[in-house]
Amino acid sequence: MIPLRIKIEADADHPFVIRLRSFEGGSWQKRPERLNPFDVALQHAGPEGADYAGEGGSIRVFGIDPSEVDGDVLLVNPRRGTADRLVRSSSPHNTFLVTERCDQVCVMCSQPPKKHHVNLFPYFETAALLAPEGATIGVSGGEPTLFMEQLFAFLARVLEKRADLSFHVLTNGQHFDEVDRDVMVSLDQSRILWGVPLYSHDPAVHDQIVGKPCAQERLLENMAFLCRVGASIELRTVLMQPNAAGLPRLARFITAMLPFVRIWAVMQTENIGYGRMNWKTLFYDSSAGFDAIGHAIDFVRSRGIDARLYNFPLCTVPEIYRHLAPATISDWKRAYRKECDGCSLRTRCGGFFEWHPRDHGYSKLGAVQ
Amino acid sequence: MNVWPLKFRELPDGSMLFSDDAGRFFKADDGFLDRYATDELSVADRSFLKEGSHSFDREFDLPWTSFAYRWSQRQSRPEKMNYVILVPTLRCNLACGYCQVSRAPDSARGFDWSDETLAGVLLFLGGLEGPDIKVEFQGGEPLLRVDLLETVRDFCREKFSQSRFVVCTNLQKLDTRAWAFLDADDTFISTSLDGDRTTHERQRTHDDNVTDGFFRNLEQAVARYPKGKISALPTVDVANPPDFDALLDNYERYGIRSVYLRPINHQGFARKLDQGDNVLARWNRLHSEFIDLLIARNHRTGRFMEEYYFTQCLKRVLRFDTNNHVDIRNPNFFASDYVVIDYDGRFYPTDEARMLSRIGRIDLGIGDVATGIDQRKVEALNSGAFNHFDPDCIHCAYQPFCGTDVVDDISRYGRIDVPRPDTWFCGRHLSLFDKAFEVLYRKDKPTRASLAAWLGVAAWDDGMAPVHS
Amino acid sequence: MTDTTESDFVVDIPPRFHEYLDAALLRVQVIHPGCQFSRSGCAISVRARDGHSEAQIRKTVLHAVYREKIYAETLGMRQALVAAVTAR
Repeated sequence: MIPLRIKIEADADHPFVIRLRSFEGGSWQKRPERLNPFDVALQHAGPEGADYAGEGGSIRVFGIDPSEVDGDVLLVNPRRGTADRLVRSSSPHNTFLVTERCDQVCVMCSQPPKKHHVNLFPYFETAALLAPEGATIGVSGGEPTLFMEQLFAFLARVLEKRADLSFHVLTNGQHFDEVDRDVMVSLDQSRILWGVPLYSHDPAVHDQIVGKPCAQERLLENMAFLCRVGASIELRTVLMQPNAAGLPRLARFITAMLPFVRIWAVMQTENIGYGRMNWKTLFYDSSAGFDAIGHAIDFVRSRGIDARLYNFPLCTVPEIYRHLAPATISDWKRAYRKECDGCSLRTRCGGFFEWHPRDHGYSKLGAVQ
Repeated sequence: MNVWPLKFRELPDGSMLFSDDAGRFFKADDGFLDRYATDELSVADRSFLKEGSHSFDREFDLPWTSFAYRWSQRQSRPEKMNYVILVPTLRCNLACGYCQVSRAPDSARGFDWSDETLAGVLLFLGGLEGPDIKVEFQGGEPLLRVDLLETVRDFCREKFSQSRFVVCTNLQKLDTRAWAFLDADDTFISTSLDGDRTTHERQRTHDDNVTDGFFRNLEQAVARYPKGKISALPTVDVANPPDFDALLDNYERYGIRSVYLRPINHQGFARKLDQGDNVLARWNRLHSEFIDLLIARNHRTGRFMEEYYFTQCLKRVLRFDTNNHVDIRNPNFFASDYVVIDYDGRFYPTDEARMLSRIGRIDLGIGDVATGIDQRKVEALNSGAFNHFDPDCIHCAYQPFCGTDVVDDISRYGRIDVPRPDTWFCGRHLSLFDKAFEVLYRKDKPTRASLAAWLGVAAWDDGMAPVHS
Repeated sequence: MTDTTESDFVVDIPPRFHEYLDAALLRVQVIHPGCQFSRSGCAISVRARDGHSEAQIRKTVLHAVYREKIYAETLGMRQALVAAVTAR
């Protein structure tokens, strides 16, 4: 597991954002003018920690290899003695957790909601502007659109100042409204992918899964809105026992009612958070039965709608569908198993979730020759 | 509940097909048609129509939005010009029976781009926005002037960030320079392979040695280049078609899995060929048999080949974004994303238009590289380039999938307002879409296997083709 | 299967379709130029001379009437759709 939170020492009272730079033989050494007010340069590294200093402040970082964190953007909390690695420059998987509040209670939630909210948008904005060239930044929670105004302002300002960045925003789609039309239209929607979950065509099943009455009805109204404002949508369906059999029906619903989605992602569950609590009643062993998933994927694709399988280890997917299963598990929570030794597909497989259980997990897995 | 207008068609097997303007379709019986027309839809009817996105309650609600989205996606939007067909020479080293009017002899003079014309072509290309371009070299035989090809290619590679070149060549004579030109990764080959050797010789090469020369070069090209670099098309004489099994064997032998079956282009010398009566009906039957043969063959060998245009029609039916084929899209506006430049620097809206003008029936030129594109003429042509409100098409169940061919209408009838059902284009496409739906609704394993392969899905099964009972 | 006898027959048209009869008549005359169609009140009289069966012609007439009704009644919907989709 890659640590996202690291121990630090800093002589300051309030949180602050810095970008770590290591001058040792880095290619950017040739461009010293690129040093930003938020940059701190490595002064000294030893067994007692790595010292960085610069206009952004000074800090000692423990337990990291400086060469692995060059370009990383940290949100430093001096009082707690920790820093969160908001942007890992060498990773494609960087997500800003903008809130832990949520108005839904999904049965498989990997990030169970909390009432407490701290407004970190200003820090996220600074951090985003320090991200590497061409980065895609994830925005997640909780439910980010609970703070719609701040979210829009954040997106608008960063997209304007950094023409190379794009965003992947995860949202339950409950809080859009016609009044948001002008703002949405003014944003460069070609650089935002809205990841919106829909679990079933059947409102009862969807509402039950997300723990909110009338959620599906609200969502579908807002999907029409999103289409009309030109939003790019990644429709996400976590595959679980309650909705697996309904997947082909959902596929037909998508082609009929949601043809404007950019892509439909069918996703395997994570054994963390509520997902872990409810695992035995939730986990759908797709390695033992893939038919419903296959039918559903084939149906939407036959109608020209793109579909993918997220978080499926390749050995659990029939060969003919493997090209639709990219390696999506974030690097910091990805793991391979003993059974993966000698697998011919290892380099393009995303592996398993770090916390995928030994028992009650996939019944059929293992190296593919 | 507002139901979008449904078009209906009785299919050859007696079943009835329904479709809406945004291209969703289903089969139902006469009883449903009667109920629909007399405003007596049952509860089951309403429920089916609602689920199938054939209706909406309020403007801008999700079903309305979905329909509006699919409808607008089916409209082919004018794009910036990014595809140019160039004819640097009309001279050719072959004398194919169906082409003679479109060529000049190898030794003739005055049938190549002059220096001024070349300069004009480059000026025109230089004025294109980019960032990408596809250039298709036609002729005559373009490789007779590989120097001109090189000049154009060098220019495009410099100017555009993404360039792609296709050389439509008869592969008869290739010297070192020609092979070197074709070797580039951004350059592709399109050639003619009229089925089996006998047919190919009868229609194109006329001579044993010449035929040998062609096949030798084709074999060398196939050995030299990766899959996907070479494509080929057969031109079929409906009065004397090739053995289709042999045609498919031959194509497969040369690594080509996609066969675009085309009838002899009647605008060429073939005008004078006696093809007999009822050419259209015979062609339609031939093509239908070819599809059936293809399905059986695919199942037998386990290796899947396609008839390119048929696959295109299937995709036009099932998807709402298949607008990229210039022969079938709606509207089919001219001189927007592609144009033809002839050996004399004149612009034409399509290659067929160029050939038509060459045989002197009508001048469909729309300007030249010196004076630019004549927008007035383009607009005149464009006035007939869509089918949405044609009095015949508006009732036709295939309207959302179909298109228009203004140039073909002019070529055959001298006018563009002939009732659709009386035109070759309509007769051809009614047959094609009848076949497409026949195939989509078949339940046998071989058909489903081919459908899956053609559509790029793992499997095709019940429920993929909707039925309302 | 076509019945080659020439025949005269009448196709009765239900009242709700009467306003579409004239338009439908025009169309069927194009589809079956070898036949003679005339309107007599609430029905269409057919003089069939082109070899098509009576059943086939009846169906063509009825379908033409259906199509005119569908067209007329939904034209507003089509216009509204185009207006909405092309609005700036």
